[in-house]
Amino acid sequence: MENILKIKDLTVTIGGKEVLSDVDLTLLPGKISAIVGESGSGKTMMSLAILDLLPDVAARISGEILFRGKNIFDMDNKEKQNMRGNSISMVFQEPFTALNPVMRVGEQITETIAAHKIISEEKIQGCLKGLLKMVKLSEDIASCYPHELSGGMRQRIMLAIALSCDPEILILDEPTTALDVSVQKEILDLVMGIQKERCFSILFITHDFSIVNMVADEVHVMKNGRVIEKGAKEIIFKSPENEYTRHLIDCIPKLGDERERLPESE
Amino acid sequence: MKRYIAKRLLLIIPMLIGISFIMFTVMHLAPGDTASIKYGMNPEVSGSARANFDKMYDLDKPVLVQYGLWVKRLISLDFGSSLIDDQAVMAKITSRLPATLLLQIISLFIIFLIAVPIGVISAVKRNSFFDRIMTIFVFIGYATPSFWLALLLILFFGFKLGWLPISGMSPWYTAYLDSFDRTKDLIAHLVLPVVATAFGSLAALSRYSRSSVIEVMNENYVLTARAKGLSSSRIVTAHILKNALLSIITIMGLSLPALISGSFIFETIFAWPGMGRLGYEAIMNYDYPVVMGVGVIATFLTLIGIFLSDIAYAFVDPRIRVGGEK
Repeated sequence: MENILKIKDLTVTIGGKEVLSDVDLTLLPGKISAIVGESGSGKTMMSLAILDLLPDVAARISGEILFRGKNIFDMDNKEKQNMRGNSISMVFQEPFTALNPVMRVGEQITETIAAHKIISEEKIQGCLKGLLKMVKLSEDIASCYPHELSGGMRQRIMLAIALSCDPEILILDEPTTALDVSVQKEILDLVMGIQKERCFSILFITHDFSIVNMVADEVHVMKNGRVIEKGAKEIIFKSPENEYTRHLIDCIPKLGDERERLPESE
Repeated sequence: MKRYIAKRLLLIIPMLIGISFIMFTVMHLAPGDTASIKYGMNPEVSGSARANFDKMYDLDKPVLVQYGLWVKRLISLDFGSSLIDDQAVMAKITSRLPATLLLQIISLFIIFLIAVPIGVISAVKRNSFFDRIMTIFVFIGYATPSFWLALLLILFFGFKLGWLPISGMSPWYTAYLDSFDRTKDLIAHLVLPVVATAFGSLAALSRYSRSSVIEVMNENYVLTARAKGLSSSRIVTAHILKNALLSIITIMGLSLPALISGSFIFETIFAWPGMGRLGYEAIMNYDYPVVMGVGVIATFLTLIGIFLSDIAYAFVDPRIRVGGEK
């Protein structure tokens, strides 16, 4: 199968410190790749690099990120804008700060559509309704400001923004870390449900191996800016080669029916 | 929101009392007295006549008692009358206030109109040539004593080039002009006082705008906006500006006192027939009722200005306008 995103020898230095070293990663269409590692391992830097959103003053980048065979570092601003939010979109970790506090959430969704599609205002409003329905929010939420919504609702809004232009790749950067456990599950189920329907690829960034277990096809384990182990989920879970990977897997809380849930998620 | 407004309005009263008390005390602490100014070295006026004058206006009583009497009169909105020419203080102020308001509002408008765009462009194009030039300009703006700048402006544009009138607002001949020429003449008279008044605040506010825009640019929601693929102009106008305006509005409110106190200096330098010059002359004459009247009105205007900027803040920020934080 042809890859949709290929990262080759990506090295990023910020302020003299190497935050990513020789990272290689391949994402296949319709597949879910998880990037696992503790905080500071460079996961978020990688997701920002894919959209070329690293702080341009501080960051020195070498290597290639190929989206459909084209290096994103060779794209001009216009091409990058067209790619962001349209072909590749992203949901950030912190739903409390990721939305503009002085703009109604409906407009924050529609402005993304307006930026990428040339369609009438009426159709945009139609899209908005569809998107809110898809993330299981009621229509009147659109006229709310972010501070009126709970964390889970805000993350649904973020998801609606990310999916508003039917992206080919969705980057989820710890999308559930800031939420409590029951809301986490709701959001994960929601994302996975939509992914099954629409078959986009997901790059799922997390520190939590139990989530990896639930969602991923492929796993990349990162430590100190390097990918130290990668492979299909089943293989990594059954026979992790790296000590660190084994350690992370051991961190999964083994409570109650954890063992029964394992096969179900396959 | 209504409660918030009511609370803010009520807060003005204790502030006015406190500020007026300090003004009253400080004013009486200054050496000198009204009678010596009014009658000077006139040998016809005897020492007992001076004492009578003091007695007539309660100037012989302790300061606290005088303050009490002043407040009592103020409650019925009686500001008293000038010790020098016996005109009612309120009438004196109302005849001068429009000139001051005209000067201040235009200055404020120009400060806002120039400083905010400078700040925003400097922040968006950080470390660019424009930003560097503006940094130098801001340093100069901060460092220049504005009364000195006013004098230089008069010297250069008034005398050397002879382009602009250097003092007054509407000289005698304006009575003979039609309304178009009169406006033109008024504008010409406004240029130098407005430039002098606006210069210092312009530097401060543009610097402040720059830093608040930079602060907003580092917010997560700006990253979200970029990740959405919005154009940079859309990101600046729809996401950065509105949030940065929140803190800029507050600073605008807080810069009012500087403007009002500046009016004392600039109206005197430019012979502008406004309240500031009235206050300055009253201070020089130990004309206590007029000083207090001008002081109270200036304080009141400042407090109202700050109040309005708070309301504007609430209006821009939905977190205050729409319900509480969840």
